[in-house]
Amino acid sequence: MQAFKAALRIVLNHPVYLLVYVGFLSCMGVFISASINSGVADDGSYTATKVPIAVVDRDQSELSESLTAYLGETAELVDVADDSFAMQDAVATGEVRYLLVIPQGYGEDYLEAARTGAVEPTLESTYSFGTMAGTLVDEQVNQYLGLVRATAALEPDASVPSVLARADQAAAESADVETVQTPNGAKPADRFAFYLQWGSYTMTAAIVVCVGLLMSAFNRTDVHRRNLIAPVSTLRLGMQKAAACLLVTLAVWAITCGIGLAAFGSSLGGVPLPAVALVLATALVFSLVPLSIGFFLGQIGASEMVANAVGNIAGMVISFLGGAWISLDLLAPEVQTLSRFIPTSWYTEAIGQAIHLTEITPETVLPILGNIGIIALFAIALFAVGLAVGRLNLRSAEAGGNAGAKAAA
Amino acid sequence: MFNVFKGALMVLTRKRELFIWSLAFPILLSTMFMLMFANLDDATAFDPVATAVVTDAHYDEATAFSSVIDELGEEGDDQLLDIQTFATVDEARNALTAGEVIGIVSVEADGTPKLAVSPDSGGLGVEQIGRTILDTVMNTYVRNADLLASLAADNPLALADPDLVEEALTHGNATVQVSLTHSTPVQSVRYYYALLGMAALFCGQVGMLAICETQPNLTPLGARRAIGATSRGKTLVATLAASWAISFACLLVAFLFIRFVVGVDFAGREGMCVVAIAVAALFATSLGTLLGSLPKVGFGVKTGLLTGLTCLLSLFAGLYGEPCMDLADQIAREAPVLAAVNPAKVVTDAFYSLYYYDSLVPFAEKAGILLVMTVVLFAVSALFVRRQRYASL
Amino acid sequence: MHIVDVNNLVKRYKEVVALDHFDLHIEPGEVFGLLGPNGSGKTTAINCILQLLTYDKGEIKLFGEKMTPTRYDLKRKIGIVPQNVAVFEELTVRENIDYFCALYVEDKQKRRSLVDEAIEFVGLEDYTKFRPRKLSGGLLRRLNIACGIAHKPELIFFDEPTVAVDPQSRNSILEGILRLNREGSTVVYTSHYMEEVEEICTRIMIMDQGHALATGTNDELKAMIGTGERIRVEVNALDDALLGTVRALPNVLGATFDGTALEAACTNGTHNVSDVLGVLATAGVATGRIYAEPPTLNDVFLEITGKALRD
Repeated sequence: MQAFKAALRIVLNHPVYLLVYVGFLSCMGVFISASINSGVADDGSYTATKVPIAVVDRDQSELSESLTAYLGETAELVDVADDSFAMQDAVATGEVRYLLVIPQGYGEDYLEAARTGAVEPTLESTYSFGTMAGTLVDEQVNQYLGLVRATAALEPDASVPSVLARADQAAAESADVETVQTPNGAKPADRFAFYLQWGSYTMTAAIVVCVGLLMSAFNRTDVHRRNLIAPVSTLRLGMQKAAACLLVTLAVWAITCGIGLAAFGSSLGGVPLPAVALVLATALVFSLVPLSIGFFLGQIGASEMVANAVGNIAGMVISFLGGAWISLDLLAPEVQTLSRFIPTSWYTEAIGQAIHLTEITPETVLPILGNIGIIALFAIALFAVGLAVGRLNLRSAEAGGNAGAKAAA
Repeated sequence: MFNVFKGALMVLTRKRELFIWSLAFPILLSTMFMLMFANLDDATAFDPVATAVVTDAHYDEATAFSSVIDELGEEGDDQLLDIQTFATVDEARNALTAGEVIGIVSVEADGTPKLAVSPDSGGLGVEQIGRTILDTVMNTYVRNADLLASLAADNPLALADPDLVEEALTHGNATVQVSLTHSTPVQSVRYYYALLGMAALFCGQVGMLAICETQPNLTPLGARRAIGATSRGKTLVATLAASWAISFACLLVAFLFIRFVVGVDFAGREGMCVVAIAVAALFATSLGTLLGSLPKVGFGVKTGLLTGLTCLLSLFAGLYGEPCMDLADQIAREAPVLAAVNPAKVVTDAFYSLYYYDSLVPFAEKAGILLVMTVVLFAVSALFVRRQRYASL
Repeated sequence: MHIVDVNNLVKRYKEVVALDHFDLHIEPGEVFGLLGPNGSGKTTAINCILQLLTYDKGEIKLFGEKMTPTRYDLKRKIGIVPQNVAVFEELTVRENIDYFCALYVEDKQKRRSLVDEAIEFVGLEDYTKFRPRKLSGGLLRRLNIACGIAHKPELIFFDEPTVAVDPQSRNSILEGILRLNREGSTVVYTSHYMEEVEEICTRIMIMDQGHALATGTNDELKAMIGTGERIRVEVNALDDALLGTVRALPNVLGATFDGTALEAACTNGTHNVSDVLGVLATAGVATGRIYAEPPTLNDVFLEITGKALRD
C-alpha cells in the first residue's frame, strides 16, 4: 500500500499538470465543440446563410441606400469605418467576408447608364478568405442591381423612387425551397463526439505526463535500487505502481468525460443509452494508450521535463493525425494512410460510429467493438515495448553506480 | 563578460530539453498545420456548385428558366453551377442523399421552378454557402420574372420591344474585385503567425533556466557564481544576452522552416520579419527572466506556469482553430487593450501587420508594444535579481 | 593584519539566532578550522563573510578592508569550495573549471595553464572530457574543489569538503589543502569531523549554536580543559562503593560505569593508570582490556557544552 500511496502523492504534488492538461484543455475542448456546430438548425430545415459583409457607402444616394437595405436582408451587415486600416482589418481577419465600396455619384451614374443603355459603372468589391462566400454576396449584389437596371432600362422616364420601389417589390419574391432530410446530416450529439475526439489530446497529454512523472520518480536509479533492496517483492511493488497509474488514468478519463457530459449531456437525448456507454467505453480503452506511453517513458527514465514535452507534443500529434482536429477526409491521402498506424484514428472512428447508433444489434456494434479491440492492441503493444526496454535498462551500465554522485551532491 | 556569455551559451545549448519547446515544437506544429491547411484554403475557395437538374418534360417546357440554368452551368470563368442532369426526381434525390450534389433544381407541373436541398449544415461551410448560392440563383430568376410580370400589368408598353427586354435583363458584372490589403487574405497564414507567437513565449524557458542558475537564492550554482570576481551586472547582461541569442536563433530557424519548407507567404517582407523575431525573442527573454527570478517558487512550478500561460495566451491569439481565431478577433475589436497586453497576440499581429498593411506603421506599433512590455518585465525582474545578499539561501 | 576580521556579527533567521555576536580573526598563512556540529552556524558565517547573506549587525573585513557585495577586487583573491557540489551539469570537467576560473581571470593564455594546474592538482587528468553526471561522488567533490581553487586565491574557504567522500578521496583532499597552504594560501576549513580538523588545522575555533566557544591551537584547546587523560578499563561488575573510591582518587575528575567498562577522566599526571588499576586490584576486580588516551577535541566540546560533538 505504501508504494501506491507514495505514487499518488507524487502526482498530486504536481497539480499544475492536472490543472493545465485536464482542466484547461478540457474547457478548451468544450469551447471549440460548442462553437463548431453552432449553426445547426434544431428543426433540421434549410435556411439561407447570411454572410457577414460591409458596405462602405460614400454615395448616400437613394440607390446606394436601397442596395444596402436589400443586402441587410440577404446578408449580415457589419459596420466598418471608411478608413483604410479599418477596412483592411475587417477583410484580413474575416470579420466581413465581402466588402463593397459605393463611390460618390454612383447612384446617379448607374441609373443614367441604365436608362441610356450605356455601359454601367462598376463597384469595387473585396473578398476576404474563402472566395465561396464572396461569390455568393457578389451574386446577390448583381441580382439587385440587375433588377434596378432592368426597370430603369424598360421605364427610362420613371422616377428613381418608383424604379427602386418596383425593384424592391420584385426582390420580395422568392423561389420555393424544399428541405430533403438526408441520413448523414449533422446531429446535436456530434458535439459530444467531437469533444471526446478532441479529448484524445487532453487525455494523452495529462496521462502521459502524470504516469511518466510517477514512473520516473520511482525509476530514479538510486530510489529504484533502494526499492529493489527492500523486503517487498518486485512484483508487489510493480502492482502497486501499476494500480496508482491506473487510478490516475481512470481519474483523468472520468474528469474528461464528466466535463463533456456536463457540457453536452443534454444533446444526447436521441442517442440510446448503450450507445452512450459504448462511447464512454471507447474513451476508457483509448486512455490505456497514453498509460502505456507514460509507462514506456518511465521505463527509459525520462525526466519530468521530457515527460511534459512528450505528453503535450505526442498528444497533439496523435490527436491531429487521428482526425480529432480536422476531419481526416480533408487531409492528403498519405496522411490518411499514416493515420491508420495511429490509435487515435480508430478511436475517432469508433466514437463517430457509436454516437450515430440508432439501434443496438450485433451488426452495428461489432465493427465498433473491433475498433476498440485495435485500440487495446496498440496499448498492449506499447506496454510490451516499455517492459522490454525496462529489462534492457536494468542491466545496462547506466543503471549502475553513478547515482551516488547525484545523491551526494 | 565575454567569458560569461560564452559559458552561458555553452550551457544553454547543451540543455537539450530546452529545444523541445523552443525549436522542435514550432517545427512539428507547423508541419502539422501544413498538412492540416493544405486543403483548407482550397476548400473555401469558390468551386461551381454541384447541382442536380431534373431534365424532365416540365423542365424542357420552361425554356426561359432552363436557358438561365444552362447558361450558369456553362464552363468558363464565371461558371456558377456544376450541373449533373437526371431524368427523374427520384434519381436526383438519390444523388442528393449520397452527397453527390448540393441541391436539386426542377420545374413543377405549373411551370414554377423549385429547389430541393438538404438541411442547414451551419456557419459559412462550403456546402451551406453552395445551397445559398443555388437559392440566390433561383431567386434571381423568380424576381426577374416577377419584375416583368408587374411591368406587364402596370406599363405593358415598356415591354413592347423584345430586344430591349432581352437587353435589359442581360448585363455585365456590376462589380469588379479589388484587393484592399498588401496581400490577399489567406485564412491559414494567421495560424502560422499565431504559432510563431506561441513559439516566442515558449522561448521564455531559455531565459528562465539561465536566470535560475545565476540566482544565489535559487541554486548553489548561482551562489557560487555570485561570489566570483565578475560583477553582478555583467553576469546578468551576459547571461541574458546568451538567452536572447538562443531564443532568436530558435525562432529564426522556426521562421525559416515556415517560410521555406512549409511555404507560408510573408508578403516579401522577410527582412522585417527577422526584426519582429528579434523583438519577440527579447520579450521572451524578459518573460523568462521574470518567471525565473520569482523567489520561493520551484522550478517545476515555473515550467508549469510558463506552459499554462503560453497555452492560455495562445488561445486568445487564435492558435487553436477557427472558433479561437474568431474569439481573438472579437476581443481585439471590443477590448483592444486586452489584446494589446497579450504578448502572443501582439507577436501574431506584428507578422500580420507586415502581411496585410501597406504601411509599416502598424508593425512599428506592435513592435513598440512588445518593447514596452519587455522593459516593464525587466524592470519588475530587476526588483528580484538586483539583490546580491539574501536574508536566507 | 588579519586576513579575515569579523567583529560582533549577528545573523538572525526570523526567531532563530544563527550567529550571536560572533568574532573571527584569521592570520595570513593559517589553516583555520571551524569545528562544530551541524547547524552550529559555520556555513552561515562563511556566507555572511562572502556577502551572500544579509546580517543584522557586525563588521566584516577581508584583507584589512571592508567587504561588500561589489568589492570585486577583494573577491578576486578569494576562492570557495561550497558544501553542495555547484557545477554546470552541461559542461565537461575542463569547461566547468575554465568557466569558474574565467570569473576571476580574463586572460585566456594564463587561464589555460591555471586550469591545467587545477586539473592536475585534483587528479582529474583522465576525466577532463566527462560531464559531471558521469563522475563518482569522490571525483565530483574533486571537481567541486578544482572549480574553487583554479585561480590561485590567497584565501580559500572549504565548507565541509569531505562530506560523503570515501576515505581515500578524503585523504587526498586533506593533503591537497595542506599543499595549497604550503603554496601560500590561507585556508578556512569547516567540518564536523574533529579528526580532520585536528589533523590539518593550525588553529581551531569550536562553534555551537552561533557562538564561538573557544579558539586556539589543538594543544591550546586541550590545555583549556581539566581532562588530561581518559582511562577506560573493561570490568565485569563494579559496585557503587568501589566507583566512589575511584572518584575519590586525587587526580580523577569523574568516573562512570556503563555495565562493561569503567571510564575515568583524569587531570594530567604521571601515574593515573596505576592509581586506578591499584584500586581495582585491591578490591579483587578482574580487569579486561585497558585504554589510556590523551584528550580529544570531543572532550573539549563535551566539557564546554556538556554534550558530545557527535550526536
